[in-house]
Amino acid sequence: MNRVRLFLENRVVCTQSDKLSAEQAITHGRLARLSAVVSLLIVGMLLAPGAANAVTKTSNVVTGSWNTAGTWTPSGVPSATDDVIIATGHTISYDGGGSTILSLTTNGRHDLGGTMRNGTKQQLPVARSERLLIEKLPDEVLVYDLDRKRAHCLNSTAALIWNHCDGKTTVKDLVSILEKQSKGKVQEDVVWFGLNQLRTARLIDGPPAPAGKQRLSRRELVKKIGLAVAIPTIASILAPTASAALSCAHVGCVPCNAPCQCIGGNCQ
Amino acid sequence: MKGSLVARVLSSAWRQSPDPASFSLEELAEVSPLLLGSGAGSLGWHRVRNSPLGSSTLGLELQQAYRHHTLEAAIHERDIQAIFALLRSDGIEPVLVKGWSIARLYPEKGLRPYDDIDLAIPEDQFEAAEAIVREQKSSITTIDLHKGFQELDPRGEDDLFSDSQLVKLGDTDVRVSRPEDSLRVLCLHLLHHGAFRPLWLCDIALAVESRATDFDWDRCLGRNTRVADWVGCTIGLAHQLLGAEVEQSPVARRAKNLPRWLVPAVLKQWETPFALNHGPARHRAPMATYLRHPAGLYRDVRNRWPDPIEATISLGGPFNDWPRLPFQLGNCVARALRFLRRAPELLQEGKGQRAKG
Repeated sequence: MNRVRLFLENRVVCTQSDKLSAEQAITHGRLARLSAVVSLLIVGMLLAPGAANAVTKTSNVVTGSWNTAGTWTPSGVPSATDDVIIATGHTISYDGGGSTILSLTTNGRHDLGGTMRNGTKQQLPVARSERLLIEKLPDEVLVYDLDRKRAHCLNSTAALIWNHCDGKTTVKDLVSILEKQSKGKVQEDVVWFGLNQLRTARLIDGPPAPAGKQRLSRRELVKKIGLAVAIPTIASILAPTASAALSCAHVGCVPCNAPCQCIGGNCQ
Repeated sequence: MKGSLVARVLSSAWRQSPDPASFSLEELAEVSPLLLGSGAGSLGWHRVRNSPLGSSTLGLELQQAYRHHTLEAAIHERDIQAIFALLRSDGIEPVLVKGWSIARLYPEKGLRPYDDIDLAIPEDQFEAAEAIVREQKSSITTIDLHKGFQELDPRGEDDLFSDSQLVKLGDTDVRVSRPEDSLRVLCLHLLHHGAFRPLWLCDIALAVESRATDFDWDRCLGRNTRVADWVGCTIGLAHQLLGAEVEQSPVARRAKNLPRWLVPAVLKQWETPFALNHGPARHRAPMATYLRHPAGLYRDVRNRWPDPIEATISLGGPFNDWPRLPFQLGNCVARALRFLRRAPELLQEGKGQRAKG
């Protein structure tokens, strides 16, 4: 039995990254260390106030959704005061959003908002859509971040990647999309390069790229793959602007906006 | 020389498909700072985008301006929708003049930048509108309120409000002037500011070329023959400098026969770097400053020497071939008299400030 308990101030904060790291730990057989952690956590739990009221929720379906009450015995979606056990042979999918539970014990599998492939969990990037102004031009997409007051220009490759960052499309899928678009072979590094840039520009949410893919440089990429497909590029937009010649009234001189004054037909 | 080069680069730039670029990279390099500085960088880009100049470093610089203006336009459009909703919720119906009302006619929104949102407000609602705008501190765009149309067009304003029209901006109906009134306002605005911004002449060229077949020229030119001639001459400038198509219009003849001084006066304005010598930056300090510190007065007086267009318009003069010097002198005298009338008050203010300090 793989037993994992994640604690934060007497409560398990069931974030995707936490669960991911827990699962990786299991996969790599770090049971000894985990047992020690579990022991400590059990002691902590016993000492913690409120722990006495904890309910243990155990999965009762072979495959089911975390957020369905019927998935659990006793019935109900696990809450902050619950210990959760995923029983042997059961696969429970977590559909995203935030959940807080007391502890999680996995005897089966849990899929936390991503796609489980070949036993490797991939958490997928999601394009940001809030507080962005987006202008689509024929060959590029312009994005203005209203919060950070930054403007970006995405070339067609970067825009294509960004448009498909929907939390469901994998890197391999993105490669296929780019290949279809460019009618040529595209390497996975191209997608990772684009995702890294999108992440730096804060246009996608999601975990950082795997260690080997974090520092891809444009030069390396061009050397490695040639120019079969346009390298995804996100450029900052900085352009000289016209001086603010806010013309005011030339007759009668209506007030200019503070702190300007209307002098000689111009706000000064 | 640089002024005519600016004109050559901007010629036909407001059209969906501008004429092929007929200038060299060196020539573009010479005027590129003037284009960028005066907000015509996007139009410069539109002119060269399909030529080899488009992929040059200069071309890419102009393209950056185009991108920048495209995003800026998106922000402004959002603000226009917001301010209309806000004013309407208080029963105020503004008319949007200049800015977006002309920018919307360009083939792409990033081609025509505008810094502020000019709104004409009926006189009896002006104070209420001002209070609402003042509260709207979070707005990115500067909102410039005009009390009626008096300062934009000396003609009576009743018609200008009642005959305005609604055009769609996303889900919002934005009230703008009729095309005839809009063209007239654009012409008068350009003249009042001495035509220093080439972009304004592109606006006029666009407004003339995009007019509908039922365009009412009588309404545009108005009854005052002098003002009508000013408007006609301005359209003539767009024709002569930028190649605007004016055939089949009542101003076609005038457009070909402009006062001798007019075209050189405009070109002289265009060859001056925008930010340094026009508008707010032209005067280093208010004249009142020199009452206490006379040093630099002579240079500033020279800076304030009016250009022939501004001077003629300020005195309501005719656009004929007579020398402009009397109008320029007259303009200076009028300004000096205005200043002297206010001098005691300004000195008093200065003393008050010193005492407080």
